[in-house]
Amino acid sequence: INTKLTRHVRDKVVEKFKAGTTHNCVCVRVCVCVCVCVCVCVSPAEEDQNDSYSRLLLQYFLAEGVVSGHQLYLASARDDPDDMIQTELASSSRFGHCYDLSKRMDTQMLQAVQRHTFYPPQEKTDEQTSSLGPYAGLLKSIQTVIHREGFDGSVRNVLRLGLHSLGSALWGDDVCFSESPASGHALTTFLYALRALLRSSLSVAMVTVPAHLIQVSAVLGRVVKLSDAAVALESFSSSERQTNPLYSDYHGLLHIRQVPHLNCLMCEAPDNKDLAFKLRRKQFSIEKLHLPPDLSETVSRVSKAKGESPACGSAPTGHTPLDF
Amino acid sequence: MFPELNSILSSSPENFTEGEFILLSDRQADASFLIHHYLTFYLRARCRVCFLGLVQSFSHYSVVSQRLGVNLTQAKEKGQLVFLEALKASPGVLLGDESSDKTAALDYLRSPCPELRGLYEFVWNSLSRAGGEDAAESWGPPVLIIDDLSVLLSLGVSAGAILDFTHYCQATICSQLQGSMIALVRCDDEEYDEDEESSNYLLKALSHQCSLSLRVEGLSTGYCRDIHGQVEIWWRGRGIKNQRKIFQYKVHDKGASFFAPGTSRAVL
Repeated sequence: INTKLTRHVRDKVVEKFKAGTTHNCVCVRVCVCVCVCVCVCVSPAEEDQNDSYSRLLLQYFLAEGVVSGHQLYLASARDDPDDMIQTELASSSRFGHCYDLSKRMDTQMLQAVQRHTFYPPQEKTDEQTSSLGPYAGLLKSIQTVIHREGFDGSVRNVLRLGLHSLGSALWGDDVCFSESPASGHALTTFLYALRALLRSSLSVAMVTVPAHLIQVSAVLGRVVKLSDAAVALESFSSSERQTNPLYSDYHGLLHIRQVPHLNCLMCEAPDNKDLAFKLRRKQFSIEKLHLPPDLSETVSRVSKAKGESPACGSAPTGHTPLDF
Repeated sequence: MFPELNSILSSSPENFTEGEFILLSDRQADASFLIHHYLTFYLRARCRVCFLGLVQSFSHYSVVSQRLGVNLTQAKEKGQLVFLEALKASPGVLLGDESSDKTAALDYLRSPCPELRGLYEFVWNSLSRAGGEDAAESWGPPVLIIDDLSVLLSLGVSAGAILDFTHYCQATICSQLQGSMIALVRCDDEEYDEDEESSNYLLKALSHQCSLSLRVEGLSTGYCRDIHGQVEIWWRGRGIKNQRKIFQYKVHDKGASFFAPGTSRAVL
């Protein structure tokens, strides 16, 4: 998977558990009991684009599931999840885990995938009696799928859950447009219960949240703490990109808000947390943010051209010719 | 438990202060490593421990404690440890499943106005029988550990209800039973202090109730791989006994090291 962060986080998590546990099956179980939360912060001018960044990460996450033979569960209030799966990324290149954004996934491969979807306009709404508010139906659906497909017992496969844009008004939640929302704790209660379901099954969830819309400042901090891993995408407005030379090559910053340390005191800390992302034609790449060496104009122009080739390595690479 | 922290706090499993209310808190950092310290410390000290697992499952604490040399499963079987698996039981309770946990301990998930009386009764029942009717061995003073209190705010419990709960627990466990209580509160910079439902408000109120406070924060200069943050230890006694000290720390696979600010090996 080309998003180095998710792989970085996942690799670190798997590494840690392999070191600490003796049973392979336990290793698989614990390394998937995580909830990754992707929060999107955005400068107002770029709203639409930024939901597309977080949605892109979600698609990478699900594409990886398709290639690995996992089952998928996708919930979205805005776009029909079936449509979202149909427009999945193509799998290309030698390793099978690199994705090309300009292509679509082979329909045969997609058809072979077992999938479950949740699209609120098509679900019957029960009365909202609990503190889960508008998310009660979603939690019930997830719990049912996990139990019916056996992810909490006998099945030795992984269920990948993609939950799109939780907290937005389309879910029936008013945390994104009210400073004192009626369902004030619905989102956080849901994330809490989701964690419980993940801990008891072979499943992993990626949740995207439109952070820039949330009116109550405390909620975002709570959402991060209720996730095992959390990443925030902060895109640059066009003016920022022009004024700051450091940012001109990128579309935004990627902040690591939380690294999982499940079943251990502390996970390996990353070297540095200054990461930036750029949406290229064929890939979404994440790189360490750094100034290029202060060499002459011609040399730095050459190094930028090199950055076009897809990079499937596990370590983030810069785009200067001095890096290897 | 962490030997370096024991020497800083001048305590050991053989010799520790009774009747303490220890408040752990964090801001821009994660103080949960201190929870593991206290859990293993008091089990080693042969105390009866009631652990409210509100944010992680039993297996998480069990694996970490194993690395720190304490077997939680054994402690549970012997009756030394009572563990409330609140996290795992929550979806069933929230969805009103037939097969879900019916105990009053999880009432804060049920009622339209969530409160913690049921949770308090659970704690009282777990710890009030100090020796246990069928215990072959008699355990030391009772200890309550809560990981963590601020998640209750996320579940819709009011700060007032949480403060009532801690007040009752302190009165019973610390004063009456001469045991100890350890609670973790996790805070954010984004919350306003004036907001009565924020963790900051909860932290302020609990700071006045506690006898020892350990505040964990990230470094003001930003993220550093070799120094994970700093801990401010505040002994809240009277007169000379009231003192504060700051240490920097780094968490390892099997423990944590504490050092005076600026003396990290990475820096010297």
